[in-house]
Amino acid sequence: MSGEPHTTQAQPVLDRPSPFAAGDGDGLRVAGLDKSYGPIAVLAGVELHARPGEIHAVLGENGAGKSTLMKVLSGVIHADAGDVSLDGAPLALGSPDAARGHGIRTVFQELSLVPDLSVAENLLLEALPTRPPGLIGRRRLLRDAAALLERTGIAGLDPRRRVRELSLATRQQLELAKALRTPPRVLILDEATSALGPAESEWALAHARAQARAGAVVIMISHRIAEVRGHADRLTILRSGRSVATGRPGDFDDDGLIEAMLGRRVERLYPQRCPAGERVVLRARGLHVPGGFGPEDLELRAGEILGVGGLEGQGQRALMLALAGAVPWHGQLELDGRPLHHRSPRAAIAHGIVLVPEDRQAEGLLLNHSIRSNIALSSVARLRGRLGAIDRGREAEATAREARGVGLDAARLGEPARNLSGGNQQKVVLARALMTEPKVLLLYDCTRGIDVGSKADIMAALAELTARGVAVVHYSSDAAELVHLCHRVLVARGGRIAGVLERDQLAEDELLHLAVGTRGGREETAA
Amino acid sequence: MSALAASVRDAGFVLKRLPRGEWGTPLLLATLIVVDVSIQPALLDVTQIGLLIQTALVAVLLATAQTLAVLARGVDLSVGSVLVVTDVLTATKLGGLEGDRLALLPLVLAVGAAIGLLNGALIAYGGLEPFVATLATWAIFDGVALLVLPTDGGAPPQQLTNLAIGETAGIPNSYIGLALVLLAWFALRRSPLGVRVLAVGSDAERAFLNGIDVRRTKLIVYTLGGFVAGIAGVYLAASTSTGVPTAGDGLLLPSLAAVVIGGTSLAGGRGGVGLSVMGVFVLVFIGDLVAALQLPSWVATVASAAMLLIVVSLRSLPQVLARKETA
Repeated sequence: MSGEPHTTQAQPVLDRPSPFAAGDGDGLRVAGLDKSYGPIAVLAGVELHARPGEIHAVLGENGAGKSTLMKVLSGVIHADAGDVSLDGAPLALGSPDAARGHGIRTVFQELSLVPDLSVAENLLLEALPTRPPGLIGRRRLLRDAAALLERTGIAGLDPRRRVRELSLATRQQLELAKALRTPPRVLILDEATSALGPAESEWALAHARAQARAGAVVIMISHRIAEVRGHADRLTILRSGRSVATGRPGDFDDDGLIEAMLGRRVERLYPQRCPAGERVVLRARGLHVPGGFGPEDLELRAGEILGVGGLEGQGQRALMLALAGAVPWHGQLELDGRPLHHRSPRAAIAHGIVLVPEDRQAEGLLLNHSIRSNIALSSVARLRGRLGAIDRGREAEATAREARGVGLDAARLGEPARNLSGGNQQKVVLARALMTEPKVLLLYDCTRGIDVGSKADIMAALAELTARGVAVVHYSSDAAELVHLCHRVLVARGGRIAGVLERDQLAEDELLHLAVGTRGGREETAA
Repeated sequence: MSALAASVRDAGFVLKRLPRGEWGTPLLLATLIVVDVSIQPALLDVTQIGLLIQTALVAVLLATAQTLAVLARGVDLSVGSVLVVTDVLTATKLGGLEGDRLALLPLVLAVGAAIGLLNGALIAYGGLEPFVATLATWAIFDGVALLVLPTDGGAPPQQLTNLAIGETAGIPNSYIGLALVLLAWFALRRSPLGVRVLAVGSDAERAFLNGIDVRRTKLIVYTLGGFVAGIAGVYLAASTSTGVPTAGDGLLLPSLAAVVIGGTSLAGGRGGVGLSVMGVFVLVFIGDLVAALQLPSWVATVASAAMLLIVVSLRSLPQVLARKETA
């Protein structure tokens, strides 16, 4: 991922005057919005009022209805009942085009960029510039796209490149740039910073603030509570399809926010850390992935959660994939004191090293298959009964046990995985990994973009695992999570280990210092 | 040799518009041409090339129709049956004993488009898988063709035949036909419709989020495909001066092979007609080589299939290597 051709500037400039003066009008009002899929009510009388000029955060667990609400506002799905009005005028939101016509622009979490089209074609897809006799003016297309990239502060990206070739972070930036092509009246950011590093997140939020200043209504969905505290003017909390609280971020403390989201008292998001064991489970000497990571040494002890941090794309992926046997690596690995030469994920799994991948839909789940068979997928060999067929009874029993362990509803295991929210899908992938009874669990940003409830369940499951002596390597883009969950954190920079923070040194600012290189370096490396 | 210069220019036109990294297909084609021409230098002649294009044009048109469907992440198994329907209609309704009725030509072409429209409606609005929908229409319209003309025969209008195999200002009309196909494709590719087709094929859900009417786009794609396959039928009848109700048998697989050899992704969204046309000529030159070397005809079949495997393997090789090397 290194060398992604873009840089960002933190302060976007609005070079077009907005037609909407700040504070003018009533803003966006949602009243009594209902949406059901069969017997399941996803939205049940949602109320929301976001004023022009403010950044309004919408918080809630996955499955609380946030994404459904955003899709209704974007014209992607239709509500069963209820009204949406903008500055007092009722809106008809029959299609994405209709919503766009009202000035509602959405930065979709699942990204609306088409992978096989170029950056330019994607940015201007809604309004491709044509000239007689109806052909696209190629030069104009490229010029307009380049101008939009420059105006939004994404410099150095060739507009002719195909979106497929770009990193997730760049695509998410483009998604925002596309939404800013014309000045929005309502800008919806649905997890718009989930794939972004700190600098790009600041860039995106600066754009959000600039649009709010220009008089737009900005609605922001985020799972990063610090981000909401730092940037939202007001917030509304959804729970089970209802609006349960609204106010200023300062009106709630962290426990209060989480309690409102979950409707039950969460003891603590991060569980108590058991002390890690002394026995070294995994030892690497000169672990090297050419062009990706290393050569570096590291040790992982039983019952330890070793965090992997740093800015995006600093070799963390290469490290994790090498440990998982998914990319060729050089050097020496020892598992429980015995040399390990795994060259495939299959061999790694056989040795007890399992990776939980980042993109649960693309890399992890068979969406049309049942939750049960998804959990059992990696362990079918052990579930064979007589004649080699899968023993359904044992499968049901074993999968139910793992499901309960990660906080999944064991009664729903027959449903297709598609029915689950993102957080619950991630739990399925985790349960599958756990069912193989791993010695070493590799987590690749598996909590990104999932709700606090699911996160808490996953954290609890990890604490339980480490208590049993399983060693965990946890790469996360969430610094708070690294600080509060891990025993030690390794910070990667430029494919090397910039430093390792022991438990008593763990703090978010220390992590950031190491990540950006304002502190630490090669000489401190002692993993 | 001005026509040859023109075709060289055409080739340059095609090359410039290739998606980056798609150099394999033109290289393969160029190699085959060089080998074939070195074995039979007589081939390098405006009329000879014209004949070659003339025999290839039906396959070019079918591959074009197929490419449109594949780009939209579908497939059109009915291209051969559309071809036979317009083929027998041309032989029986446009020509025949009572004299020529060339004025009905637009109607015959409309029949091809209508079959495509039916495919599109079944797929886009009926929610059928393209494979299933076109499997059904394939069989149905093969039957319809036999109903119209049970055995080989009929007489396409002489004017159409003259147009198909004639010359304009010393240039065989087949050149013009090929150029028109490519021109139409490049115009489509540069139109908003073309971008929408690629968007729908690449990712229908995201295309929808961008306000693209996915169903309407698919309907248009299959209708266009039917229209183009219909032209192929008219051209076949005209250039052979007869109607053959079973002419479509064995044309479907080459149309798919040309698409695949050309390099259009079966997963949709990537590739184009220019590539598929090169794919057609790869198959044509393999056949021509086998004939020139006086090998039995089964060699051509096996060689074409082997070429398909080799080309597809070579093309996926960089990805396989990249997957192994980069993290």
